Amino acid sequence: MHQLRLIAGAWALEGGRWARENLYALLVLGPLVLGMTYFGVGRMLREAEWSPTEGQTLAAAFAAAACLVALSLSRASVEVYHVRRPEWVLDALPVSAGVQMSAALLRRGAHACAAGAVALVLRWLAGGSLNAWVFASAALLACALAAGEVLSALVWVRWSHMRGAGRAVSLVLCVVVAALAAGALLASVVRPAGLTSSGRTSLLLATALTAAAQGVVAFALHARWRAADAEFAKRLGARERWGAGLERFAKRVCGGRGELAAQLARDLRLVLRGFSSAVYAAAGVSALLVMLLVALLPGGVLAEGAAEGFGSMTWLPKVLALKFACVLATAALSALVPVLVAHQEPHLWLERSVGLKGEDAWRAKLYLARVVTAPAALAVWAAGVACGAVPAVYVLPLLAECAWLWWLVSTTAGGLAFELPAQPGLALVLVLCACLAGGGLTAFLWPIGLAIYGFAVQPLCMRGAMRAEMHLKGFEI
Amino acid sequence: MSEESLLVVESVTKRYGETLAVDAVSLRVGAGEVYALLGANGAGKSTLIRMVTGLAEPDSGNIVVCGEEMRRKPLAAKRRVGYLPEELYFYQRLTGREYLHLVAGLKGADEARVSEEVEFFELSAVEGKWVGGYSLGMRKKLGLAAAFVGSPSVLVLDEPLNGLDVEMMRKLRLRVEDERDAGRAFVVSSHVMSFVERVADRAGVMRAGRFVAEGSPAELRRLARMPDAPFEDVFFHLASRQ
Repeated sequence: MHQLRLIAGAWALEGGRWARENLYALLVLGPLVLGMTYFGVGRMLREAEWSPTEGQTLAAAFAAAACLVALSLSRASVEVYHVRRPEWVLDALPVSAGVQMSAALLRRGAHACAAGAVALVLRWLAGGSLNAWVFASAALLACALAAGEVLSALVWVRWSHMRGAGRAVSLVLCVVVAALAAGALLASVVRPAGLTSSGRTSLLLATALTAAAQGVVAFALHARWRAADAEFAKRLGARERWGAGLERFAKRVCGGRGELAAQLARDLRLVLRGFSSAVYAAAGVSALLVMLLVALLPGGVLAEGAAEGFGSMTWLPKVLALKFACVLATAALSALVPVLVAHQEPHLWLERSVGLKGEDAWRAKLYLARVVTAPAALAVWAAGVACGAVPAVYVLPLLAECAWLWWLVSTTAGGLAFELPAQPGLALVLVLCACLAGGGLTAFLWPIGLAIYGFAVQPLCMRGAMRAEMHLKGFEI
Repeated sequence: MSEESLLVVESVTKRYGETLAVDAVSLRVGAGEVYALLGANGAGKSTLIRMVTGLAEPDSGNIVVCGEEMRRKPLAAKRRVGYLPEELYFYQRLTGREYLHLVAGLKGADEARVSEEVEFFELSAVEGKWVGGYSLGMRKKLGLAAAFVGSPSVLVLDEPLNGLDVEMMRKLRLRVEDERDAGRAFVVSSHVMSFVERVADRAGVMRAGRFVAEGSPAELRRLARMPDAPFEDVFFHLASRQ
């Protein structure tokens, strides 16, 4: 207990100092983004005639919990096995595996508290009361997420190490169980009209038991696998799977400019190797959206609608759904760019020592955003065409619209690549908000995109190059 | 040097996939002895050191530190070991002193000794600054101070001279000699042959996970039949011979 207190004390001290260093982001940018969300999305949701059903809320909560667990796989594994982290020292000191695991759970729990806080805010936005039960549920949500994330990370590293179908199934099961436990609780917190008091008690009890069981299994597996998997975790992703073809492709994309092509090839390689679990999560969300489209388009959920002419086909419900899905899928993959910029932060000495220009560093990220998001836009269009959701005469114009949306969203994400290089979480929110806002409006009426591109995206790109220059010169931005 | 072995490595083997990193290596380091591990990059030194310090588990064989088996009683064994790794990762926003207090607390060591180490490694001027702002040399000194905190019986130092200035190298050498005379055992991995020759009682030359030569610096010279050559040439000769 004394050792755990010492470790937690060191983290608290570091966290407090980090917060002091990032007062601007925490006190100005954060509230700004939250305020814009509240007055924008929140207002739209409150005034909308549509409100989600019980089932839709549950499904969204499960999906959100599953994304949280999937997103945290690499971060949690790094924390459990201390890969290139200051906690490596714990392995060389007389600190037991149990204390190390407790510390990892504690750290995950601290991160998961943010999810609990978001759930409370969502409940408040939806007009629900904040009472002791809700606070207890939010706290338990953080515990359930932490236990699920740590257990899934352990199984993920094991699967990466040993492979095999059985281990893959175990990994999926871990994520699903964690998502079910946390998702049910999240839905009950977010939805004000909810359960009876006995129902709440049963849910709390069930979630607590599931989280405890996940924690116990995580402790047991950690003790059993630690020796072999800690070594492997340090070498995870070190295998080469992509040959010189990637360099040739990057060179072609960059118009033969070597300094850009080298960066793009490296970035693509990192993405393809899954430099972070964010890659899996982003790809998963995009794939889910395409699957959702395939499920929804042929059914009767979306109205057929009748176009009055060729020009009005752009507003057919199914076409609109396809365009919004294109924006969402592209934005989800675009979110990888700020995460990659933060991931590369410790290795920037290379760019600095070779005297790379900020504009070139930024442009490489812009190309990356365009390259990694292109398959999403194509897949959405292909899904729409394959499901017969688009009139034959509108197949090619829809392709042009999807291409336009892809170009706009990915350029926006690329423009914002270096906006908050040291704070990937906040940068992710910023990129997603900007992409969804610009893309959403353009999906509704494509010419609006021209104005957005001219008045917002172009200045954003100029700013992006400048921010990259400042970042490379080592200014705190 | 006493007859008592503080570190015993018995036929230890470690594989990474198809690669045999350490191949049935045995080693004994007595109280008051400095043992130098020599070898080219990839020879298996760091893997052996990681196993000795409990950071990696051997596939087979046994490691005993001060009578405690690393596999069966890792905490008791680690309590007797001080370790300086080649690559150092620190909490960027803790001060040097805070970090040393954390290490001392986790070791269960007397925290009053922290000040002595801060003074010895000339960290007093920066002890109140965040580690994130330290130079390479300062970070190395902090790592060394953390290894020496708690007066461990066995000290394992992986490339201790990297980043140190000449004055601190000399100071470290004298400290190692003092601690050796006080009965501690050292395992040192270094590419600085002049340091190795002056400080080591015995040295083992590794290649492809095995010892290809072992003995005191004088014995290694005799083995290589190079009595007057620089020790660097002796090492090169021994490490490359078939």
